[in-house]
This record gives sequence, structure tokens and C-alpha cells, in this order.
Amino acid sequence: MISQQLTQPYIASAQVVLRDMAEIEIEPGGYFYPNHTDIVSYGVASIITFMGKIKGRLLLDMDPELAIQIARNINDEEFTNTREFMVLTTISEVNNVIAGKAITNLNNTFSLGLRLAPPIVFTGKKPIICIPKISSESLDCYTKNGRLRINVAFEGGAAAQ
Amino acid sequence: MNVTYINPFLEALTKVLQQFGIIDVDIGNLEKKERMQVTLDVTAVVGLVGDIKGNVAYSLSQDTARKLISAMTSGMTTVDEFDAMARSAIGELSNMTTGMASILLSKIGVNIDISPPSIIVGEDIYFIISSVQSIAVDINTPAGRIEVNIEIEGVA
Repeated sequence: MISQQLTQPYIASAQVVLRDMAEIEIEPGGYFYPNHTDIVSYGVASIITFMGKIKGRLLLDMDPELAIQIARNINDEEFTNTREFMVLTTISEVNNVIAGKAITNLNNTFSLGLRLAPPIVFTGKKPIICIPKISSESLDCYTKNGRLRINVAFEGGAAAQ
Repeated sequence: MNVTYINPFLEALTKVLQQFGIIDVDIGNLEKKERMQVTLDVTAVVGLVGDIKGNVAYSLSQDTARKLISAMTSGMTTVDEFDAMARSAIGELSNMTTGMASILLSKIGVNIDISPPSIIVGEDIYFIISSVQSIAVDINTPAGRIEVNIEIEGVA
């Protein structure tokens, strides 16, 4: 099981960043739970990996309607399709900001020396996402515009230091 | 983007495939891509952080993946279904390749750390792995085509 001290900064960061950047409130639907199976994407997903004293990944997965609403609110433009460049790059940048804020918190607290790789973002027909041999935990969140899944993975399950 | 940073990934993939008995490997031309749309249904993505920063994505069809897994196990394994074990094997292949590329890069003074691979499986997936251009290269092997997309930020 991943320590709550490692997962909590990601939800805190997601709540603040989505509120401040996109005026979207997210409501966590409980607590982080371990993922023992692969994840079937809701429609739009962004992955950002981080490395330092430990390695891991943040996955943001959301309904297409939510991705479009985030892009609309941030860019003040109309979008209708998740394959539009600005929709995907906006989700990618949101993930970058959320992960950046969370790892700053983790680095300040645990001196983990984490650094981010650039985010990737994708959309498709129910893509399956897996990260073999790594523990991950998900938190299902809800918004007025659709579902958001926050999935955090750490190599070896990484107990907090 | 400087090919100095691209070639180690291609050399590493060739060497890893050769380790599994896949000798006749043909490296296609380098192609600049603004966006990455993949028609192949399995993609393994590995993040890079260090002296350079980016992502490398290896895309292949499930049929090619099955043949590669069979080669990786010296023909001892037949993959009927592209299940968790098969996905793990493709993750391992991408990990070995990128790990070897990081060793080759370190020999030219470029030190990087690599992330655990993420495997994405599905039809007609549209990716953006970079806010800047990426380089795509087709690798043709007897097991099928592998498309390698490399994105390195901040490198001229």
C-alpha cells in the first residue's frame, strides 16, 4: 500500500489547480484505493512520470465532456472534440501544473529530489492503461462536467521516508 | 533535434532485438512529426529526465507484440490473448531498450534516468507526447513494424 503522505499532495494539488485555473470544483468520492487491474480510460488521459530517490507516475483520466469543459474555461474558446490540439495540450498542461505542485510539496517534505518528465496525453476508444509491476492507487472524483480519476503509482509501493 | 540523441535509442532497440534472435532489422528514415497519431494498438511510453528531458514511445501491433514475446522466450511462449503477462513483457522490452539507450547516451556524456514504462493498449489512439516536435522512425523487423517516437525538450 502506498503511504497516504505520498498520495495526498496529488489530490490537494488537483483540487487547487482545477479550481484556480479552470474554475472547476472536484469532489473526491472517498479515499484512494489500490488498483489491482489495468485501467480502462474514461476517454481522455494524461500521464506524467517523475524520478528522483523514488520513481512513479501520475495519471489523470477523465470523461471527454470534462476535458472539453476544462479546455473551454482555461482558453475561453469553444471546443467540441477531444482530438482538438488545444483540448489535449490544455489537459497535458493542467497535469504538468498539478504534478509540479505535488512534487514540490513532496520534495520539500521528504527531500525526494523528484523531477518531472514532460506529460503525455491521449484519447481513443477505451484505451487500457497499465504500468506493469508497480503499485498504484486511484481516487475517483466527480465534477459537474463528468468523472475524474486520479491514479498515483510508485515503484515498489514506496513507503514514505 | 540533434540526431546524437536519437541514434542511441535506435541502436539500443536493434541490439535488444538481436539478443532475442531478431537479426534482420531495418531502420527507416527519421521523420519530424507535429502530432503523434498511432494506428498500431500497443504503445509503451518511457519518460526521460536528466541532462535531457523527454519521452520515448514504442508502438506496435498486437500481432507484432505476440511474435516479439515468442522470440523473447525462445519460442517457449505462445501468446493467444494480449493479457497482463503479454503487456508486462512489452513493458520489459521497452525498459531494456531505453535502459540500454541511457547507457549509450552516458558514453557521450549525457546522463539520464528513465521512468517505469506505461503501456497503453487500444484502437486508433491519438497521442500528444510533446509540446514541441517529435521524431518518428519506423523499424521494420521480421516480427513486424515498430514505430519509435522520440521527443526531447530543449535540444536544438
